[in-house]
Amino acid sequence: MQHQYLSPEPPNDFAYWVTNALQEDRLGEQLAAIDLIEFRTIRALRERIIEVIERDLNERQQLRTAPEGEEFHFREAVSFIVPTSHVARTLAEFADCMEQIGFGSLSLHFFDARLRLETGDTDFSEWLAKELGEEELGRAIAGLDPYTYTLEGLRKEVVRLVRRRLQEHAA
Amino acid sequence: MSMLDQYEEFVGRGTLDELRRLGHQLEGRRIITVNSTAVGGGVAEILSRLVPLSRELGVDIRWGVIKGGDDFFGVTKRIHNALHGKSETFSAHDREVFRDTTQQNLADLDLDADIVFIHDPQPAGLIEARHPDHGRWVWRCHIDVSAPQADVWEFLASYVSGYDAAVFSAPQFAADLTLPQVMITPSIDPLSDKNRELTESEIDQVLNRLHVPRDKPIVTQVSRFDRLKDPVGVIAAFRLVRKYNDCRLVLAGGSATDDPEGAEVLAAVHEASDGDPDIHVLELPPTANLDINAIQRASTLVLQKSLKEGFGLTVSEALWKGKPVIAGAVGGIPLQITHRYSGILTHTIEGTAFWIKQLLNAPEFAHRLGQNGREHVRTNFLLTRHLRDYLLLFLFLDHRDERVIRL
Repeated sequence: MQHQYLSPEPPNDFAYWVTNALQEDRLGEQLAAIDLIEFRTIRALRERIIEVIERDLNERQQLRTAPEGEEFHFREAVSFIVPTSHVARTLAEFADCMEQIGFGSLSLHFFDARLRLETGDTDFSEWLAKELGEEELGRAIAGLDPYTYTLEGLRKEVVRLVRRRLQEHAA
Repeated sequence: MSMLDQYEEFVGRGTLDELRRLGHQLEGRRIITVNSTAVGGGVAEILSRLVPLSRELGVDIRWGVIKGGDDFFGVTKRIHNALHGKSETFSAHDREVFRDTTQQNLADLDLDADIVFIHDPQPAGLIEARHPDHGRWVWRCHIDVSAPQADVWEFLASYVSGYDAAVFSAPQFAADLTLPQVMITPSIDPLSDKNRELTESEIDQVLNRLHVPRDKPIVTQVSRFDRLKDPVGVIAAFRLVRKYNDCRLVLAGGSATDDPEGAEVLAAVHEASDGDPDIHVLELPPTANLDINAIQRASTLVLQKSLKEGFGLTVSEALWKGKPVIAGAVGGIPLQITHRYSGILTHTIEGTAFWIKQLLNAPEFAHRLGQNGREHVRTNFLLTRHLRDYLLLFLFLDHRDERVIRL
């Protein structure tokens, strides 16, 4: 969850560790630069990470070892999905909910959804297009690169796009 | 205002709503948590907040405390040291004392519950009360057991292996166990005397009383006088800084009257400070939480130059006050500081001195580190996150084979 306030320099855990513990700046930069939204499945992303590391390994003779205490500990995440009290039926209600939901909810429907739906879409854009016929707004939201925003910044950007659309309706 | 509502100003309504929903999910489950003291020590301090907050969420949780004589706590103190890798004798008699006290507590405590949540080695033996087909048992280990004395760990592991899950504070503190291991980091309480907001006049009063003038930048380390916190190294770093930057150093720690090793370190600190009027060595009583709060808030920079560390929550305390922190990259500190984003991680005296100078001369960068650090603590190291993780852990016990749990 570092991502949400450290932007505009949001290193993923792997890139951060390679840069700061192994001090392999070049490889770290390449790992940080992987365009995460390009990947629609975890498998494809995993393969890309391996490819970047292997390409780097092939070019070098000597390998560094992380200092004691700075080893990379792989962890496994367990996700809990819990219903919230926020329900939207209209675009206006959707904007109100977007302003109130927690970061966990934003992550689930934005970041997780891309990998779950495997279409590059988000739960928000899918719902806006299917249920409200707001294809263009949906595409605009799906087109955001969430990894270049803080979570609060991402929320504000989605709200801004939705409010702008509401104004168009009102005009 | 309810106790929970007091946290809204720090974490927002969404977080509290989330806690209420999780509490609701645990309706009908009876939980008991057991540790070794009702007051004193970090575990009792955290339970004294988490238990009433859980009850406010509607969770049916009781808090039990084991009893034991001086001989028992003498043995468990040595177990504690041996788990930390210090060489200790652990005799057949010690094992007997541990087993006898465990038996007495098994007779006294009502452990009939759906979830039994046991803290640290002292009450670990209560697992003997486990019913074969009812209730889940979790062992919460607050200490680093990654390099224990073999015979002591073997003794303890014979109990721990009977649990359904073990909880550690950081991945590098965990042990080699076959049961599921869960990582839950500790937390600070933004409402406690050590962390609550203070007015400038409250801060001034404390600093005046402690004779620390606020006439120039203050660099502070709050820590026990312990070699592993390297207070003498802090003075050496300060001396390197002082060639170029006028500032004060505050070393604040507990009084070392009952601790011969602490007294030795304190003497070394006094010798190293050599009567320098800009070095303030403060021996504070364990109740001086408000003083520590004020010292941290009055500081320009906070150091935690540890050579070895447990989780090192003093780092989160300082970050929560928006202070730029320079700390050793040991124990749980790298979980709290991302180097050059939310603080500075160093490995040497010279590196520490280098970064003190950098941050004193680049106050805007230092300010940004402090602000990022505060946000990192807000998201990850406040009591409400700790409470959420415990509630999720309790819910996880019924879904141990699932990786996406829909409630």
